[in-house]
Amino acid sequence: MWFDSRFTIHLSGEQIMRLRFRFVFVVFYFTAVLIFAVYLRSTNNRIFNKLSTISTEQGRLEQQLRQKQLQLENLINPAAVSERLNGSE
Amino acid sequence: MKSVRIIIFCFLFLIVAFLSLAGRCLYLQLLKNDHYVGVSTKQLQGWVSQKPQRGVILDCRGRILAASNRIRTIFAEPRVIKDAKSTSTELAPIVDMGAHEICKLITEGKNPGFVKIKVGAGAEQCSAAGEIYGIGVQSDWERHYPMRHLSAHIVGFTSVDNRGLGGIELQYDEELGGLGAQNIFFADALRRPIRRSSLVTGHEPRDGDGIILTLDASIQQFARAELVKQYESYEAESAVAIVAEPKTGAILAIVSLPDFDPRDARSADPNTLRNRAICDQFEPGSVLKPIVAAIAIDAGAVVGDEKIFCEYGDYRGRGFGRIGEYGNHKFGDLTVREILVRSSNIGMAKIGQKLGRDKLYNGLRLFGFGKKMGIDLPGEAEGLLWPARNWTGYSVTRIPYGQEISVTAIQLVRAFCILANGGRLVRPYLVKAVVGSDGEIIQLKRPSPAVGYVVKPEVAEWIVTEALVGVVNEGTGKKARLEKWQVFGKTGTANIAKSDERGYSDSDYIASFVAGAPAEEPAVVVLVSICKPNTKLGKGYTGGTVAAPVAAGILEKTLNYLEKRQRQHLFVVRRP
Repeated sequence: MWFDSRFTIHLSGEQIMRLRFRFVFVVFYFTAVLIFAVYLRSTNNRIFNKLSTISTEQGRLEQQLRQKQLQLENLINPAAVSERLNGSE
Repeated sequence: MKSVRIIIFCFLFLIVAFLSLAGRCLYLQLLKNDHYVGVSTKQLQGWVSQKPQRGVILDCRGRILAASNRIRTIFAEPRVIKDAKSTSTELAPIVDMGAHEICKLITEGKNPGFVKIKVGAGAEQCSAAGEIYGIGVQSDWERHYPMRHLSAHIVGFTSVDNRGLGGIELQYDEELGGLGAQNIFFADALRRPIRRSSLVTGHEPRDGDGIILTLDASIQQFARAELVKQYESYEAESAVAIVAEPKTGAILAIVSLPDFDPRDARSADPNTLRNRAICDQFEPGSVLKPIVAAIAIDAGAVVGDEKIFCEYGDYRGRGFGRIGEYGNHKFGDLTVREILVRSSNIGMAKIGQKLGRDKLYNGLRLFGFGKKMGIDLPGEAEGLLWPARNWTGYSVTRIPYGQEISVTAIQLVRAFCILANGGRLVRPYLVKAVVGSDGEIIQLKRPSPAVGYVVKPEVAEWIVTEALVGVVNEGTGKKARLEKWQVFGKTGTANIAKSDERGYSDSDYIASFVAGAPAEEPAVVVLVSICKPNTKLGKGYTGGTVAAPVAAGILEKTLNYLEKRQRQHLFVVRRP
C-alpha cells in the first residue's frame, strides 16, 4: 500500500481481497444481529402465546379428569351401589 | 434558461410535496395520535370473560355431593348465516344430528344471535364446528349432583346462572361462587393472544371454595333407604330422619321425604323442595317426656323412684280441664321411670305441675326449644314456645307430654344429644370445613366444645340408661330392640291439630321415635318422624309401630358401619 500526491490509497490485490472479506463479514454479522434482534423482540409474544395454549390444554385435561371423577362417583356412590344391589336381588 | 426554470419548478414541487407529507405526518402523529392509538388498541385487543369454577361440596369422607365441570355448547348465529341449508348440511356429520333438524333450529330460533345446536359437545366436535362460518362454541360450567336424591335437601341446587337457590348451595353461595374476571390481552392478525394488556381491570379470577360437610353419604343412604320403605308402606304424607353424633354434635344424616332430584329441581314439585327436618314444626307428643322428666329431676321437683298417682286414666281439675291416657290405660301409682316406660300423660302432667311454670319454661329454653339453632341451612324454623307469662293452667299440664309446644326435628335431636352426652350442651352442626380450590383449609367450622351442663350428668345418665332403656326393653319401643347393642329411646304419637276448627284430628298423627345406642356410651342418636301414616291401612299409626323399626334399622346399619370404619382406621394406624 502506498500514497501518491493526491492522497489516493493504492492497495495490492491481496489487501483488496482481505478488505472485501471483512466487508462481507461485517455486513453479514450486522444483518444477523438485526434479524436476531427482531426475533428476540417477538419472543415475548411467542412465549405468551405458547403459555396461553399450554394453559388452555392443561385446563382441558383437568376438566377431562374431573369429568372422569364425576363419572366414577356416579357409579360408586352409596345410592347407586344400593340401587344396583337391590336390582340384582 | 428554460431548462433551469423547469428544474427549479420540479425542485419547488418536490419541496412542497415533501412539506405536505411532513405536515400530514405531524397532523397524524401529534394531533390525531390518541384517536389512532385507540383504534389500533381496539383492533389489537381481545378479551375473555373467565367465569370461576363453583366450589365442590363433599361429605366427611371426601365423596362428591356437588361439583362443576365444563360444558361446551355448539351454537349458531342465524343473523350472519346466509344459507341455513348448506350450513346445516356441513354441520350435521360433525354434531351427529339430522341436517333438517339443525336447519329448523336455525330458521325457527327466536334469538337471531344465539341458537343452541348441541349441548355437551366433545372437544373434537367443537374444533370442527368452529371452522364453519356462523357457528360458534360457548364454554360454560355445569353443576353435577352424583348422589341425586340422596342429599338433595342438604346440598340444595343452583340456578341456570350457577347461583345457589337452596340448601348449602344457597347458604354458602358467596364462598362457593368464587370471583370472576375479565382477561384482556393483545392479539395478532390471526387473533392469537400475544401479550397481556397493561389495561387488565380488576383482579385475577378465583375459583370457588369447597365445603366439607359432617354428612356421611353411607349413613345418609342407610337412613334414606329405611325411611323410604316405611314412608311408602304406610302411604305417609312426609317423613324425616336425622342421625347425629351426640358427643360432637356432628350431623351424619338428614333425610326429608318427599325429596327431589337436584339435577331437575326447576321442574320438581314445590312441595318436595322443603327440608322438613328444619323447616317444619310440629307438636312432638310423648317424645318430649324424657326432656321434661330430666328438667324436673334436675330441679329437684321429683326424684327417680318417687311414686306419682296417675288417677286411673282420668285426671280433671280447675284450670286444666281433663287429661286422659293414650289407649285409655288406667294407671295407678307409677314411678317416674314407669311414667316414661308406659308413657303416661297424667304422670307427666303432674310432674309439670310439681315443676312449676317458670322452671319448666326455663328448662325447655335451656334445651334449645323455642329458638333457632343456627344450623348451616336456610329456612330454619324456630318452633313455638310461648313465653311463660302467656301460659295458662293448661300449658303446665299439656307441655310436659308434648302438646301446646311446637318443635322442629333438629331441635328434638339436639335435646336428646344433650341427654346422651351426659347433660353437656351440644351444638349440632353440618359444615366441617371450608377449603380453598387448592385444597388448603380456609376455615374449620366445628363449634368449640360447650362449657357447662344443661342437666346434671347423673340425671342425664339415669334418664338414658334407666328410663329410656326401659322404654325399649319393656315399654312402647320394643320394635327398636337390637341384639348387638342396647338401644335407648322414646316413642311419640302426636295428634295433629285440625286446620279448620279447634281440637285434634282423630285420624292424623305424627309417629316419632328418638333413639340412640349403645346406652352405656352413646355413639349415635337417631330421630325418625313420619307424618300422617295412612290409618285406613289398618297397620297401626303409633311411634312404636311405624317409626321404631325404622330407627332400629338405621341404628344397626350405622353402628356396624362405624365399627368397621374404626377397625379399618386402627388397622391403618398400626401398619408400619
